[in-house]
Amino acid sequence: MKRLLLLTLLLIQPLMTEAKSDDHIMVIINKSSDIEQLSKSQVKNIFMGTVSVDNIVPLGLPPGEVARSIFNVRVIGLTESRIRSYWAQMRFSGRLKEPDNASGIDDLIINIRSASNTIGYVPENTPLPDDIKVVFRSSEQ
Amino acid sequence: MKMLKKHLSPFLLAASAACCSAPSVTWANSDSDFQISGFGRLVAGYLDTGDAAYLDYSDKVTFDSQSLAALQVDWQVIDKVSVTAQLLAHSNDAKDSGIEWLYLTYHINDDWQLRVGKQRTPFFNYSDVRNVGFAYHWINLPQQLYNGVLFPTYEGINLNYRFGNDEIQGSVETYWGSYNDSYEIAETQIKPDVSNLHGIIGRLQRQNLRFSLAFHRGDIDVALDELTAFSNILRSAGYGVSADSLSPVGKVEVLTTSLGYHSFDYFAEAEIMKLAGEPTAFPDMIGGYISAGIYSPPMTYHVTLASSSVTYDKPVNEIPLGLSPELDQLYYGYDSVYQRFKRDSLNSLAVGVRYDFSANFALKADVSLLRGQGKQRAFFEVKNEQFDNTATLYQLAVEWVF
Repeated sequence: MKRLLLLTLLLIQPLMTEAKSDDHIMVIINKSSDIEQLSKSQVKNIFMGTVSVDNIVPLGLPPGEVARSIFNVRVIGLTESRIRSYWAQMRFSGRLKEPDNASGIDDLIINIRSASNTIGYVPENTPLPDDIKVVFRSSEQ
Repeated sequence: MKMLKKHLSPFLLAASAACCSAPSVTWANSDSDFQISGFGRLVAGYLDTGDAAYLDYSDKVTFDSQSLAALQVDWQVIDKVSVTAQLLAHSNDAKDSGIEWLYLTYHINDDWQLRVGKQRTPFFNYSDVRNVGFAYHWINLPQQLYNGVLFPTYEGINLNYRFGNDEIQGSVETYWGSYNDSYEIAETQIKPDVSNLHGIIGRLQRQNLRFSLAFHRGDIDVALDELTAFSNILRSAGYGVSADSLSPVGKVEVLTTSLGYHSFDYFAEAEIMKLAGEPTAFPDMIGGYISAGIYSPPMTYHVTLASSSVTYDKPVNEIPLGLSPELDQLYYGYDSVYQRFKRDSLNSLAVGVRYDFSANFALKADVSLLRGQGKQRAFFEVKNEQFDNTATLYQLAVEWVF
């Protein structure tokens, strides 16, 4: 029992990263994609796997990233713990698989530059290379 | 099976605990793609009475009743075909450890999915993740539905279709298969033979609101040897109607519906079931729960009211009383058989808190007030006939996924 408690203490990480009320995100995709704009519902459906849109592959950020917390609040509308529970249910019931996560914002941008159908989110005002375009801004909702 | 479990449990617990701080593990090459994930739970419980047990909890703190660990292997065989196996180790001797799921999935396209193999029967919202405590807010799913008289798994096919637009999304799931295994309600082991088990589940979602409606049906043989033997005696004595009334064979039908709303701040959800079984030994049952809670990250506070009501078809005792000692014996024998059918009518109120202290770990604490109706079994394992069917269950749990 002591070992288990020690292991548990060693493994815990802060789950929640607080998002400020004026923080926003933007959803980005490779410029070669035909998609020019997405609605909030479309973005939510893509990232929650409820509806597929034009073979788009969502790529998230890991728990603890500020942009992920903002995305959960502004777009998904659920807490991180509820989202984790949802994906546990989907995965272990064999219905859906959680989107992969990039290791961070730089990695996410690299992935989107190299694939025309990958979609992701970054903090608003993140500098973007020329071959990436914005298809949704939470600040415009 | 016990030998298997003896070897599985330490391995799975160690593997599960070692992996739980990391995301699922993937080995990939150009020809195949293996992904290993898993879940586990360590649950401690205490029942405030020594007169009965509930879910194997008694008046001594125990970790053995519901603790478990599992590994799931997903193998992407080719582009649209994957194989999933789920290996489960229970700490409870009364529960079988081993392969919980083993199925092949054919992703026909983004909207259609076909699964073939051993799968969990999708009776209720959380049926197929009953062992994955991380997926829900309680420690115990409401027993009035989830530890009912229904068969936990089936072997067969499952077809799922997704549809939707920006506003409304939904799915229709159908399945067909059979069940021939044993499961436990209170201290009673049940091993029915269920064939032609099939069902259809419709789900709709509009933003944060979810609704489902499902119908399930199966042909069941409750396979109680004593019942069959007594029924044969009645028939040979010329009391065919009474014999037929104890037939262990017939249809079972289940109708379920659910409604749920989850927002950033709070949630509410409810499920209701109506179960009707043709065999007299199979109960008719109405059960349901309503649960609500507040999200205050990283905490979730919740309260749940649940209830079940069980009845059996009325006895058809056509044996005359007082004509001869032999017939009297038969009359009272019939009466005795009928009275021995177990009734699980239970009201409960549960309050709990969940603390998500990392992305893959959650701590939970639940208190459940249990009130069995009348002198029924009410999911209790009664040890003292003076037990008043009232108890409080205290539980703590650590849940994890990786």
